[in-house]
Amino acid sequence: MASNDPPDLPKLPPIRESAEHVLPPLPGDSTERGWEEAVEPAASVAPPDADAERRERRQRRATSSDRPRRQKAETDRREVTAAEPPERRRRIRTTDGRRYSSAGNGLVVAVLALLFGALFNAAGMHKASFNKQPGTERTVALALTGGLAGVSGALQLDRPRHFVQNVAGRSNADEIDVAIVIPEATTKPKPAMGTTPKPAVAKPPGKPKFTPQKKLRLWVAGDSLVITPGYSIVRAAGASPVIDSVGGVDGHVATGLTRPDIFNWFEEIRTQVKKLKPNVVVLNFGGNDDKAYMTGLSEGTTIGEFGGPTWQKEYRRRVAGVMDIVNRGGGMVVWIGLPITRSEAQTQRFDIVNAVVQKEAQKRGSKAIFIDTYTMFAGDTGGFAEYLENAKGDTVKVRAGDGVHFDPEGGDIIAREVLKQLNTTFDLTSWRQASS
Amino acid sequence: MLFPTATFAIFFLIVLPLSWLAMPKPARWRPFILIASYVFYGWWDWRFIFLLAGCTIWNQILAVRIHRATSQQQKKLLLWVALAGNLGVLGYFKYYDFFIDSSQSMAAIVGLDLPLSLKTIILPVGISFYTFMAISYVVDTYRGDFVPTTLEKFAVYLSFFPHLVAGPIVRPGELIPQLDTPRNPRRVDTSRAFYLIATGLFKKVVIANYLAANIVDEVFGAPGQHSSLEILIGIYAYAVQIYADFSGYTDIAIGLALLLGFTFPQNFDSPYAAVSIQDFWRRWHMTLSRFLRDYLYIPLGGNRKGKIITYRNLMLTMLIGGLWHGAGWTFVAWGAIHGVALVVEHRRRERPGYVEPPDTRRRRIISRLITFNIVCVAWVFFRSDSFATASDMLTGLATGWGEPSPLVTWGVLLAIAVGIGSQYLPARIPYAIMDRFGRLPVVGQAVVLAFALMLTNALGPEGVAPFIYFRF
Repeated sequence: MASNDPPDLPKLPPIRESAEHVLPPLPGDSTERGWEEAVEPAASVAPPDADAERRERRQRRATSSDRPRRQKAETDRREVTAAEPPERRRRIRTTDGRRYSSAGNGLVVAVLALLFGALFNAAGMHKASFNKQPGTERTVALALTGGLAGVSGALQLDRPRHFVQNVAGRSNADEIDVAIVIPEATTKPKPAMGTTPKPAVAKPPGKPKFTPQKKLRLWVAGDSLVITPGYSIVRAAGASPVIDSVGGVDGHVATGLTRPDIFNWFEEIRTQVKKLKPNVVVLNFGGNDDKAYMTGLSEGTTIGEFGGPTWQKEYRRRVAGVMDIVNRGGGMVVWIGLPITRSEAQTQRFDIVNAVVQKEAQKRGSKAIFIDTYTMFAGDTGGFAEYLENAKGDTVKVRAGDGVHFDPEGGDIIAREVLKQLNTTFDLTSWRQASS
Repeated sequence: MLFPTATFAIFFLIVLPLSWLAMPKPARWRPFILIASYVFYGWWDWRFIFLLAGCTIWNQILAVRIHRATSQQQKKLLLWVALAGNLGVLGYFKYYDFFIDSSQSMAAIVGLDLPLSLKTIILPVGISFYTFMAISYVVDTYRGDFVPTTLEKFAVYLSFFPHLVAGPIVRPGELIPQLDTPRNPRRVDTSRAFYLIATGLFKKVVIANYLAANIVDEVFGAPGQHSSLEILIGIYAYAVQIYADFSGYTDIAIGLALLLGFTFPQNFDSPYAAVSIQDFWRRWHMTLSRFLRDYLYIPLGGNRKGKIITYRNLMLTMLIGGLWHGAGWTFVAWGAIHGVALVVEHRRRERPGYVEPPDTRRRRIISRLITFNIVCVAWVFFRSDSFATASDMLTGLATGWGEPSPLVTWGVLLAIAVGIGSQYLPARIPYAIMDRFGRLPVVGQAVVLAFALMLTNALGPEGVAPFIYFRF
């Protein structure tokens, strides 16, 4: 091939068109050098001597034994475009000397690879289908992947995937876990009598006290909405000598309390509360729960429409369950409510979720506080506002471009409110007087 | 449609055979691929396609006018009109709020209350990429390097779905000639295509997501809560994350184009093996670097107008390059760090009596380490949501040594090692892999790829994580 000549040989005119700049890849430097020069020559017309070429090919196949027999396309006599005179056969190789393949080959490989890949990954795909929003797409996907998973399991093609998952320490990743294990509602009837004046019952002088030696342990968890305010809270906590943020921000996008199959929060919260022993758990759920669908229902139950009596009852049970898990683990719940959003319909749905959570929080007095972000993030006219004034009086962007999530400045507003609430519930300052 | 989704897999399996069936007659192929690309783009939001179509028509009209204009003056005027249109649209969608916000805070400093209102603008996916391609089409025409083609071909060039949302930024001279003649179905470099797609998927879905979820987001979210070691590893992890994410995505794009018979320029060339910042820019997002070089740095005068102008041009190019990545002052700071580093490198080489030091192994290692760490400092600004976070990150690097570092796990270190180590592989290894792969029978190739898909899916996150470079 001409391009194997050293580039500085004087026999060629110095200025050449780009197709001529094809150089062999430089060794030992890049993984991909020379690729951009691989301009493909335009396809040409039929070779004058197609027979000679065919003979040449046959000969080549006969002489090289390592050549696979698959290239049926090469013998396709009608093909006219690979016009290479026999003596220049190296030309039909890539710049780094590999052989080309055909489009048909590529297509077959792609189809088979996706098919085999689907068999290898059937268990994961089945779970992903289960996690979809209800509808025909989910029904079809479930049926397809269910069958696929059956075939894959029967042929033991799911073994490699399970092996990899085991090595990576996520052996249960493909299990669909919809078990909602929450504490029995045993002590419910009592506080129902005095729901609102509960804070007065908590004895004001005996606020739990925290010091730099015995820090308040704080954990943040929830769906995507909790992530930005969560980091604001963790930062604010870091600035306080008496608050210790444990476990970072446990935020899982597209999760909630209605779909334990997507992410089982009941399980996660119980595990983490046991492990981290937090005094305060900041939670935020519901952003993805505004739908007429739930998994983890007992056999034969239907949930009805979103916000209807059955829906509300079941959602209340789940919210209460989460709060109870935290409370019984010795922690207090700070629940960040759902904010006003750009979409009015969504805001209305969020109102329904908020009402359920707020009621459950009130029942628990100082053991659960509801942070009302709805009013906090409404603009001057009471509607959605992407920009608000911060504590310094500057107009700052508080909401993300999607009209739902928070921007860091918005997170800071929430963090300030959370810290304020912690200061009223706990004694975080008296250690200063004691030490001075 | 995102590449690593089942929806895209189905889309591509339909488009691939149809494209090759239509291929022998380019007049049939072009409308087909145009429709396919618009479907691909409209999948995000059907309203976007009007923007893309408008951008196509605007630039085609002006390119043809420029080509036909008789006087240089007229050409120049038309060029400015075209550029104003393109940059106006880009500016409106990308920078409107940033501009209003910044000018309001500046006006507030001097006591003015500007009556400008902030709006909510949804950024159309990929707008920065196709606007830049349109600009290169018009400018190349103006320079006489390229004769405008038909509206249909230009529309295909601009919307061709592999490069549409995240590059590479392909030049008209590179792609439009390929649209003229049918691609040769016997000469498809499938082994390279599949290699790029499989490794690209792994980089993007496994490496980038793993690092983001396990250390980067935590550290950048609350730097004050983490030890110096966690911050340091978090910064390195981000360097690997952004490389894996972005290069993975463009590798997939190049691979898909190859399967359709088209050659795209390379976009990444082992950037963390760079021995200087200048070298880094020859290896990182190469199609953007050469765009900025040819359409910004050189028109500004390049390095031909004396030292001071050269430095100014370097700084300006990097600052604008920074702003292109996002409407925020942290991006400008990122550009400024690269600009200053480039100027310093230039100055060093221009000192009288400067001799290029011999290229020894030790020297190369030291240069690479220095370059990588400068790049990482710049990434801190790139990733931080504010200067406060960036400064917390940098001070945290010094103040928290010896604290426990639970985020620095073997998994994180392994992912970083794979991400950086892969860039130091000798070129022959990937080529040898492609060669071996190409010699396997069809079923063997499919099994190897299916295995790669299995690894990617089993180790990747559930669901699709967002891709960093769409915002730009």
